[in-house]
Amino acid sequence: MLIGVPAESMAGETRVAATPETVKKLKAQGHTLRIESHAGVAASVPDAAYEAAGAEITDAAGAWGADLVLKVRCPSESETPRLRAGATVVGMLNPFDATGLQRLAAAGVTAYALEAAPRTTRAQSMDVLSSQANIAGYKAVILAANEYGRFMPMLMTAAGTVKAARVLILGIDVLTAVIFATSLHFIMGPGGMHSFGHAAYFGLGAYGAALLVKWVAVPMGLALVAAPLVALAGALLFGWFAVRLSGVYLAMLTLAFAQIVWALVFQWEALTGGSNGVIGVWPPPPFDRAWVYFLLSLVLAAIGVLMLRRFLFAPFGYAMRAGRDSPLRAEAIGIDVKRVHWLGFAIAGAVCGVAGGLFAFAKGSISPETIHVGRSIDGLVMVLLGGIQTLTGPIVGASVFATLQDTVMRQTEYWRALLGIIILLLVLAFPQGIVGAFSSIWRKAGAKP
Amino acid sequence: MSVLAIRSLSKAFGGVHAVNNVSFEIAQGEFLAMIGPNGAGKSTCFNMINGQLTPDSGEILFEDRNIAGLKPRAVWRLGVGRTFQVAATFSSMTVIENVQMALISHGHETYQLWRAAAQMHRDRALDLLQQVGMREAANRPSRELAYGDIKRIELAIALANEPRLLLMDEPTAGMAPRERNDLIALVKRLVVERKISVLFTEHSMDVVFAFADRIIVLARGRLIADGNAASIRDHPQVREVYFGTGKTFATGASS
Repeated sequence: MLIGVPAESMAGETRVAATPETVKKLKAQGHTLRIESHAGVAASVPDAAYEAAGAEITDAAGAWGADLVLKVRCPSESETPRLRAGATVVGMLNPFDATGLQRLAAAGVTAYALEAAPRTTRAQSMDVLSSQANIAGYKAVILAANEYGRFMPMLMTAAGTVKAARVLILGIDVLTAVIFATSLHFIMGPGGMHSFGHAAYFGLGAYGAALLVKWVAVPMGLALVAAPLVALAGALLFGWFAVRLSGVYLAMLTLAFAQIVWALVFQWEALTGGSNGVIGVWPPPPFDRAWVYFLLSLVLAAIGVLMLRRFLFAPFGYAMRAGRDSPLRAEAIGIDVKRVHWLGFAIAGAVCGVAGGLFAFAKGSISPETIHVGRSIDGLVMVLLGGIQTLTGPIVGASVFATLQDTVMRQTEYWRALLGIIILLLVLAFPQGIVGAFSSIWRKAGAKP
Repeated sequence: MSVLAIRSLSKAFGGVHAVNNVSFEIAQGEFLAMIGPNGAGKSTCFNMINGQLTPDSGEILFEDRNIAGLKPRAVWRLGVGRTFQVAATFSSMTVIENVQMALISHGHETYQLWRAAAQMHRDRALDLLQQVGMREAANRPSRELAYGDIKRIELAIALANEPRLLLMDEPTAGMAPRERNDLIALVKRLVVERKISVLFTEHSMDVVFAFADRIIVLARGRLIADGNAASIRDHPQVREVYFGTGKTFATGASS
């Protein structure tokens, strides 16, 4: 195909639609490139550089007459007639400018406005907004600093500015992890249901809260009440199917449900914001201060964990264990094992939803990555790391995991690999989990006279 | 009065008539043994009574109510207790918790989320354990117990809902002869006190002939004999299914 790159005519526009690197790539795909002479000068690219990359240097008519015309700005009134009828033009075409669009339509060209490309992960390479907008933002701050009469600290992005609150932020992360892992343990341990999709209920809680804030502007208190309810609804629905299976089939089904939730959130852009997620879910004062929010998380985590503990030592918890130990015997003493496990699944889902809600407000946002399958697996690791036998297991496991993750992440770019190795070593050292190992040491010590 | 009446019960798996038009009754307080060689249909018959299988045809009248096709837990609620061939208890629980669980379920308290289960029905549970001779072991984890003791726990669990009928699938399987007699003697004493009817299947004939009030014999899905120990021992058809026709032996001896 013949691709043309005309020079930009708009005053102040220094960019150009192709660089020698992109020319090389297009050339390699078998296209012919015609660059208008001096098109790259304002962007510090001389004609020679384009020629070296394999492009032909032509006059304006040559570039405009191509099959595909690459532009930064929308062709102006005088430029539009230079496009060949049936040609294609790609650039930042300002799709909200009706007259400009009319003009292009009248010229009979096919036009692609890059700023209208969906901002999904797969379209990331076509994203024309963040790079330049980001730089504009930096420049705006520098200009403002120049005008401002007083001193201001060097702030570029939010990164690195939260150091003082790090302990609290980590604390909040640990607490949400504790709620997550304890609720997973509730069905995995006493219920014997090995869920590989617990992130679904975390996600339902987080998105439930965030979307209520975004669309209906409910206050945080109400959103945090709604979070477990949304998760409960999801867990009741999915759990009804899941308890009909066991072992690896149950694991597969829970995984599939988690993928459904993830896909729904990812693809239902109109409601959930797709890959961008929901932003601006900040807690109102006084919860906007890290330590107040930490206390809120602490209270909710304590309530969640103590409640689950109480359930486990109540008839219902006994019945869950009975159904796990021997479904045959449990049915033979009148226990409806499926129903008990179903309700257990729902309770665990609801409590997990609290973790999701807390997480959304702690981060101020929620996106599909945070509820991806990785989170389900993290939960399993936390439970197994701490030990599945007791309720203390997931609490210790979650605390160790969240702290390790935070620490390791700061050390190296390859933190996932390093974290994996550390977890592997811990699991090898404590096959019964950290709590399991300590309690057997305790027992041995106690057995000695 | 019959506690359980089986009327023309049949069940086929594919083309195999596992149970074929079987009828019998159990009177109140009766200790009835169901015997027969492997594949005679004992387990199928048993599993239809306790609700694990649905009969193709026929009636299972427990206290004049047809329970055919009810789920195991529904059958239990009506007053039918059971023990398993391989004793099933809740291995993560202590001995007393096993019994408490059965009592909790019997009291329709399974879905309570807030009460401390450890304090519920303790006295009644200890009382049941006392009766099966396991009170001393009340607080031991049940997975640490010997198999004979597990059987006793299971018996205590089975008695928790005060059943009028107890179904025992090979109660002495996997036990030493001494233990075997002790267990059956215990069962017999407990059910006589309570006037509970018992239907049990059994492979060891010494237990059957020593303890059963009445014996029914199944062979290839059909009921071939029904009577007391002496009449079963001499029943020609029973001898045939258990020992063959004896002709091989007779011929071999004469030659």
